[in-house]
Amino acid sequence: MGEGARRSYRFPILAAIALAAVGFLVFRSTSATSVYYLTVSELLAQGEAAGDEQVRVAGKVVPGTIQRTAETLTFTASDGTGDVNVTYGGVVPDIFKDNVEVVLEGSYGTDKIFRADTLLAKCPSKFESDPNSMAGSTGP
Amino acid sequence: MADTSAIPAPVGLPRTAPTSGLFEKLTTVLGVLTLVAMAVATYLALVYAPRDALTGQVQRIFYFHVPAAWVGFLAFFVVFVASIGYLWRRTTAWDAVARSSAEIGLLFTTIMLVTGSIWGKPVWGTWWSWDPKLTTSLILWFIYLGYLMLRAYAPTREQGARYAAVLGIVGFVDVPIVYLATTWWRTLHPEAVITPEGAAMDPRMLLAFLVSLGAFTLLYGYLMLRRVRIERLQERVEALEDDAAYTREVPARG
Amino acid sequence: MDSLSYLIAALAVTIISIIVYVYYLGQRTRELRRDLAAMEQAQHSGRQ
Repeated sequence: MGEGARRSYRFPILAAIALAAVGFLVFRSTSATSVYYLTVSELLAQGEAAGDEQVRVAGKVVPGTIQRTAETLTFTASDGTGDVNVTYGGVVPDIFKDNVEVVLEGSYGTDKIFRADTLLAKCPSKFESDPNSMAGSTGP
Repeated sequence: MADTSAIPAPVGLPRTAPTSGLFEKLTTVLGVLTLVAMAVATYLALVYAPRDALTGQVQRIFYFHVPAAWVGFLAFFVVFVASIGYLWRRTTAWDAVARSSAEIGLLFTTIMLVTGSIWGKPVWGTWWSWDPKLTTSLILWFIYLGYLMLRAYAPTREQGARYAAVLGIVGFVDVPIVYLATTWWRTLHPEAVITPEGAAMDPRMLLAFLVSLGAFTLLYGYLMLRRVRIERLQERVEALEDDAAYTREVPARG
Repeated sequence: MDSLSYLIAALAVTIISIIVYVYYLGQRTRELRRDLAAMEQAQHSGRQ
C-alpha cells in the first residue's frame, strides 16, 4: 500500500464530495431559500415589497373572469383566500380555462395588477375519462 | 486444449453462465413475453383506455412516461445493490450487473425526460421549467452519464469498476429525491395520482397503466439479460487477449 | 384542442429508442462472438 494505492482513492473521494456539494446546493435552492412558486396569499402578503422583482405565483383561474382582447388576456387567479388580477400577452397552453391551476411568472405592480410574462398550467392530480367520447375513440 | 498445461495461463478462462445455452433459452422466452406484453400495453394505452377529459389524447403519454421513469429507478436501485455487492465481494459478476443496469437506466431516464418534455409543451405550455422535479431528474441523468463516462475513461477495468461502484452507491441518493419531489416541494407535476387510498383515474386507465408498468419491467429484465451477456463475453475476450499476450512473451523470456 | 401529434412524437421516441438499443445489443453480441471464435481458433492452432 504505497503512494499509488493512496492516490487511487483520491478520485472517488473527490467525486463523492463534488456530488454531495451539488446535492446540497440543489436542496438549498429549492427548499430553504426559495420555493418554485408563491401562492396568491403569499404574494399579497409580500405586497409592494416584491416591487418589480420577477416572481412566480400559482392560483386557480376564477370562473367567468377570463377576458380576451386583441392583444392581452386578463383574468383573476385565486388560491381560495386571496385573489389577484392578471394580465398576460403571450401564448396560452391548450388546457387554459376556468378552474385550471396556473403558474405565472411576472411582476406584481403597485396598481395591484400582476403582469405575467409566462403562463404555465399546472397538472391536475387526477385523470377523468371524457364523457363526450367513447372509450377507444381515437378521433381528434 | 489438453496442451495448454505446457504454458501456465495467468488468467483462467471463465466459462460463465451468461454464455450458456440455458441462459440463451431464458433470454428468448423473456423476449417473446416482453414483446407480447408491450403489444398488449400499447393497445390498452392507445385504444382501450378512455380519453382524458381535460387534456385529451396527449394524456396517453402517461402510459409510457411513468413506466419509463419506474424502469430508470429500478435500474439505478439494481446498480446500487450490485455496487455494494462488488465492493464487498470484488467479483466481476456484480460489476457486470451494475454496469449493464446503469446503461439501461440511463436509456429509460432519457426516454422519461424526452417524453416528459413533449408532454409538457401542450399541457403546461413549456418544453422545460426549472421546477424541483425536473431539476432533480436532470441531475439524475447527469449522475449516471458520469457513471458511464467514468467506466469508459478509467485507466484500468478494475479501477473503473471501483470508482463507479462508489458513484453507484452515492448517486442513488437522488432517486428518492426525484420520487418525493412533488411531496416535498411545490412543482408543476401533480402530487401522486395513485395513493394508498386509490387511484384518481378511471379503472380502465388504471388497468392500462398497470399492464404498461408490467411490460416495461419485463423489458428491463430482457435488456438486462442481453446486456449482461455482452459484459461476460467482453470479459472472456479480454482474458484471451491477456493470455495471448502472455504466450507471446514466454519465448522471448526463454 | 387535441394534440395528437405530441402523443405520436412521444410514442415514436420511446419505441425507436428501444428498438435501436436492442439492435445495438445484437450487433455487439455478434461482434464479440466472432472475435471470441477467431481468438480461440488462433490460440488453439498456435499451440499445436
